[in-house]
Parts: sequence; structure tokens; C-alpha cells
Amino acid sequence: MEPRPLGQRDRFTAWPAHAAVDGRGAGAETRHVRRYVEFPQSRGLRDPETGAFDLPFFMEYAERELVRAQRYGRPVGLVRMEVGGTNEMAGIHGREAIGNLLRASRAAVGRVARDVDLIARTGANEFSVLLPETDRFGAMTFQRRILAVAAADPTLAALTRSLPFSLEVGAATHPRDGRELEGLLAKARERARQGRRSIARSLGSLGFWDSVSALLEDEALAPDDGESALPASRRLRLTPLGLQAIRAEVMREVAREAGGRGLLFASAGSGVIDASLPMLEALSPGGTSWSIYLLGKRGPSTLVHPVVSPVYVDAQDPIGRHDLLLLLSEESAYALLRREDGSAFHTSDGPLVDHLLTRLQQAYDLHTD
Amino acid sequence: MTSTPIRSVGKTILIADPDHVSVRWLGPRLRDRGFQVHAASDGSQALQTTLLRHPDLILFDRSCSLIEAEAFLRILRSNPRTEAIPVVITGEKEVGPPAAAQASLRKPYVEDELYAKIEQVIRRSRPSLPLQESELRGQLTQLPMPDLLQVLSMNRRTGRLLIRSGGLVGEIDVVEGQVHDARWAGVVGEKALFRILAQKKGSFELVVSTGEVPNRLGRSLDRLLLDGSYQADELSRLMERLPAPMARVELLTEPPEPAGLSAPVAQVVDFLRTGPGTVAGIIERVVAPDLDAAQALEEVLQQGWARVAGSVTFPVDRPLLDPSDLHLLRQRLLRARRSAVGPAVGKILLAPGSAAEIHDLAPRLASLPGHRRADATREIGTFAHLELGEEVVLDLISFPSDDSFRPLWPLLAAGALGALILDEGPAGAGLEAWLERVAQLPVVRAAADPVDQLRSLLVSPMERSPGQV
Repeated sequence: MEPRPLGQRDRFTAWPAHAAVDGRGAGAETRHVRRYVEFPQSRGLRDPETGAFDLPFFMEYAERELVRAQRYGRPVGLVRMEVGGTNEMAGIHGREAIGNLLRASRAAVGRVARDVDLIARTGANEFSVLLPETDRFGAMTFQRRILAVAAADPTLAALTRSLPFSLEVGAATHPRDGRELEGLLAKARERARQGRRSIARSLGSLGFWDSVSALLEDEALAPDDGESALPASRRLRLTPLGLQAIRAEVMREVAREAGGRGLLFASAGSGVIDASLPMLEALSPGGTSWSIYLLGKRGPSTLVHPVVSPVYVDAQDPIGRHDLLLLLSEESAYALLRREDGSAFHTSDGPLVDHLLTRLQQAYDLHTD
Repeated sequence: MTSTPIRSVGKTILIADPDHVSVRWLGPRLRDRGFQVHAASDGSQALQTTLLRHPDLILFDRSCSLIEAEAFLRILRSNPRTEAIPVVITGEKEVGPPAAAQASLRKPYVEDELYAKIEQVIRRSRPSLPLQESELRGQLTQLPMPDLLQVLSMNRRTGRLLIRSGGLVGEIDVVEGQVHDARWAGVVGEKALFRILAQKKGSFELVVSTGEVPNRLGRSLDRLLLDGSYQADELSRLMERLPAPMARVELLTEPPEPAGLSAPVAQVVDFLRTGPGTVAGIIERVVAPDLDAAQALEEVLQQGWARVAGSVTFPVDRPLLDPSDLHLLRQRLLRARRSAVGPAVGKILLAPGSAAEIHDLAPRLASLPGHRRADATREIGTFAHLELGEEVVLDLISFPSDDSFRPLWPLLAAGALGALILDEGPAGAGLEAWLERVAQLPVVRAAADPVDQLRSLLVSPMERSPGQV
């Protein structure tokens, strides 16, 4: 998106400092806003270091976009990306290196953003992206794409070798997570920071089946979350009947959420893949934006639903020895992994579910829109 | 070189071929001739693209992985939306096309032959069904099922009739006005058809279907409608004589001559051999229509081979909500609407300390009008539905309070209206705190009559959207 004519810049001189974000970063951001308010004439609408829009412009634009969305009942997404570890690195490598890192990060976001999306630098090491007409699932997809593009970016890969940094991304959407900008920014930041405690960070670049093995076996990854408000992960013994009950309920939930969007990958271990289909029949053939993949052995199939794609695998494939259930929707994130011996792991940790989904798609070349 | 002119403007071709060289050669040539071209490198991608793009022709190469040519064709032909899309099978070897394919082509392609074949196949094909196209739709309250089927019969219509009622979707395959097959909530054939015929509310939609549909029922429509009407009347009379739907039946003794039993009776005895079951569950599991299943169960009880296990039965209760409260609930659900079609579905969570607590509660809930048992265990997930009227359905969900199921909590609580805590132990207290603090749901503890508690959750004055986690 192009900046507005310079003549409109003067409106930021009166930008109220209290419009900053609440929460733990309030002090820092208020200072940040003041800096822009005090020297509005000396800079453009863009942050000179990274080329992203600056905070005052972002705040005003986002406020107006939210008013518009509220009037017409439309969704707006907000994604925050924090480049972690820059403060520690600045002392060692200097500001120039950090500047390179921030520019490369902003460029990675730019490659994912649409023309209508607005990328702004909203903190010393933080970017926010406003996504008009984007619901929760769209914002989550955007978040996934940023991480995928950043992982494949050669500049960032080169920088990683000298600057061990992390990208923490979180999303919030109007009106689901709130109607005010401050609340949305705080929610997106909270979700970005939840990612720090995700088991997905320990899995790093492991592929799908290595991740599954680690989650089922690796003692170092033993799930333990003391805070009950956090997304949870647990290992458990799960009988075939228990698995069937959970699978059926997940399918029912998909049918209940049929008006939304989501992704579901399910496998039936050594069984055939269409045992839970009756539950999915409640999905409207044409009025839903779900993508459902059923992986497993070929059987006497009744797969006729347009949103359901069967993926047949060889008898020797590890899928034949595991039951998988991976769900990512506007309302829920859930993954269940179970071996044929009954040992199982399940989680509602969003970044971890996302990690597993991405790796599964890579492993089986399953592309979703 | 000459090429056959093809009326190709606006036509879409999907090339399913893992050989990128071949796709790179073919794609631009087809585009030059006005086709829109999509490519897929394996069978799964091809299926996905087909459903999304609805191409006019598919060139499917035999070397595609994940889904083989024959399976791909079978899936395509079993879906009314894709059954008419012509498919040309390509490959290195000279093999005739499978029955469901229109033609085959051998690689390397001879350009003239390729274009001629594409033109021929596209010309011969009928336009396939676009998304959501339906010939007829309406409400069962305006056109009851028997009348609807008779209209289709008089007009000798062919298609798939979709019936949505009470959160379920049923299908009836109609060929030349005659009913060939039916499916409803996991049952098929006559059992499904008779259940669909008994639906008084809901919507119907006829979609085009031109595939071969085997005639599973093999009887004239008039005969089926007559039987359906007889079955409904007799079944309602018989159900008054049988124990309550949620009453549990257990096997007392083995029948003296198992070989001489009718198939439904033998099935009932077989089920009871594995353990006690509810009346509704037994009728559900017998393959024969519900009336035959109920008669079989009655015979087993009358012969003394089985008896009702010590269950408590309740008289049919008054409706769960008054009309004004029901209206308010409906408005509340519609505001937070999660599904674009079908009835407004609300969720109520019941957190037992053990499955037995749900079992004890089940007869009381079964006494409510509109109660319908779900095909599920009672330990985790939806175990019953309550049809409250005004197209409002409540799903009653067994919510495991055990900490090992904590990752399931956000999924089960998403969009719920409230929770009823039956578990009086520490796990129940932990869950209660989580539901209130994190899921922000109204929570009540079970007291003397849980149905009153259920009412209090549904008529809660709180004007907030269902819980968000």
C-alpha cells in the first residue's frame, strides 16, 4: 500500500499519547508514540530504518478501518510479529546488524501481504500488519505464511548463522477478539508471546514423523503446563473406543462450525478412512470453506463430499501405524497422535498444531488454499 | 503442421501429470488455443483442483501417485458434482481407457490427435453440475415427504434428494421417479427411507445426479410409501408398549433354538450377548427397519430371554423451554451462528465424574420432548440431542473432567451455552474454575433435578455470546 500525500502528515501532530497499547508494553509504546508525536515533521509516514509504515499512521488507519468494519459488520485481522533476541544481539553485533535483520523480516512479511494489507513498525523490534476483510482463520493462515516465507528466506537464513533470533507471531481479529484497537493489539501480542512457551519451539525444524516420535516418546518434551489458562498438551493411553469418541466429536465440531473455515487432517491407522463420514454429512456441499483430508488405506469408499479429499497411502506408510487428528479452525486448534499400541499425545497448543499441520503437508505434498 | 480448430474459449482443462516436462510442453499449447489450464502433480491434488475448479476436461496420467486412475474415476463418478466431467487417461503404454473414462491417449502426444480427441470428448460431454445447483428446494412443512416423492414420481425425475432435519442430512436416490436407495445418520436402505419419511420438519433439495444408482429397495414408490406410513403408525403404537427408549435391557437366558430365530431377533440376541443395551440403542443397531427391530425386541422380552435392567423411567416431561424463552435462545444462537445452514445448534456441557453419572442422568433427559440419543459413547462427546422446536437443537456433550483430557477442553467448550458440573471431586472443581475463568461460560452444579439446572442455563439472563476460548 502506498503512503498518502505528504500534506496529510500534519494530522499526527495532535495524536494523543494515550492511544498506545495497554499491557506490559504500555510504557515502551507510549514513549514510542511520543517520539513520533514530538517530531512529526521530521519524518515521513514510513519508518526510515525498515520502510514499514510508522506507528501514528498505523494507529489512525487501523482505527478508521475498525470503525468501517464495525459499521458494515466485516472482519479485520491484526497480526503482530516480534523479532526476539534483538536487545541481547545489539550489544554484540551493533545496530547495523539489527537493522539488517529488521529489514529482512519486514521484507518477508511484505512478500506475504496483499496490496490492501498495511505493514507498520509498532515497536523497536515489532511489526504489526492490519488485514482488512480477514477473519480469524485468514489471519492464522497469514501468520503461517509469514513463518514459512521467513524460514525459506536466504537473507534471514544467512543472518540466523550470526544472529540467533526468533520470530514470534500472534494474531487477533475484530470482532471475535474485541472491537477496540488496543484490545486487539494486546490480544495479538499475548498470542505471540504464548508461542514462546509452545512445545513447537523445541521441535525446531524436525519433519513430521520425527516430531510425532518426539512428542510421543521424548522425555525432555514431557508436557507440563502449570498455568491452567494456557493451551495444554498431554500424553495418555487411549483405547480404540476413546479414540473413536474423540474423532466423532471432532467431526461433529467441524459440522457445527460449518459456517466458518478450517482445516482437518484425519487418518484411521490401519482402518479404512471413511468411518466418521456420517458426521461430516451435516456439512453443506457448497456452502462451506473447510478443507478436509482423510489419509489412509483404500477401502470401499463412500467419499462423495466435495470438501473431503481422500489421500491413499501405501500399507507400509507410517500412517498405517498411527491415528492422526489435526484440526485448525477459526475457533479451535487440536491435534491428537496415537500409536497402534495405544500411546497417545494430544494438544490444544496452537503453534504446535500449526507445526504438525505444516510438516504433514510437506511430508505428503498436500497443498491447501 | 495443422491443428484442428477447437471451440475452446472459456473451457478449462486440468492436466494431472507428475511429469513436469510433459506439462510444460502441453500447457502453453492448450493455452494458445484458448483453454484455461490447471495442473496437478498427483491424484490428490487433481481431485482437489477438480472440486475447486470444476474443469471441462481432465487429462489424467496413469503415473499419478496418491490416487490411481481407477480410484480417481470412481471418486469422480460417485459425486454428483463431478460425475459428468469427462476424463481422458494418458500414459506411456497403450492401454484402453477404464470404463468410467471417455478416452485414452498415448504419450508422447501427436498434436493433431491430441486436439482432435479433446474436441471430440468435450463436444460429447454434457455440462456437468456446478456447485450448489439444485432443481428443486423447499420446506417439508409445505410439502411433506410422501407428497414430494409422488411429485417426483409423476414427473419421472432423476436426482438425489437431500433432506436436512434436526441437524442431520439424509439422501434419497431417485431414478425416473422411483426410489432406489436412501441414507440417514449412518443407516441405509429401507430403514433410512422410513426414518426420512417420518420427518415432518426440515428442508429438502433435489440435486442433479446422473450416475448409476443400484436399486437397493427394488419396490415401487407406492408400495414404499404405504409401508412407510404403516411402519410409522405401528412403531408409535409399539413404542408405547416397550420400555422407555433409554431403559436398559439385559439378556437373561439363551433362546432354546437360536437357529430358528428370525434375522432381527437373532441380531437383538447377539447384541445383548455383548452386554446390556438401551431400547433405542438396540433398535438402532438392528439392520432391519425400526418396526421390525422393535418387534424383535418385544419378542425377546415377551419370551423371557431378556429383561429390563433396574432402570428408572420418567413420564414424558413438559418442554424444556417456554415459547418466549425458546425464542430468546434462538435469537441468541442465530447471533453467534457458527453454521450457515440447518438448525441453530447450541451446546451444553455435562461434566460427570464417571460415565455412570451420565448413564444415571440419561433416563431423566430422555423424558424431555424432542430427546434423541446420539450414536456415541457417553464418556466423551455428544451423547444426546434435544430438538426444542423452532429449528433449535441442543447438543448434550459429555465433558471429561480428567486432567489427561485437558487439551480437548477448548474444543468442546467453543461456542457452548453453559456447563453442568456433575463431578463433585477435585477434578470437577478444577474444571469448574477453568470453565468460568478461561472459557467464560455460565456454570451450574447439579442439584436435585438436573433438568431444572439445564433450564436455568438456557434462560440465563446474561446477554453475551456463547463462550469463546
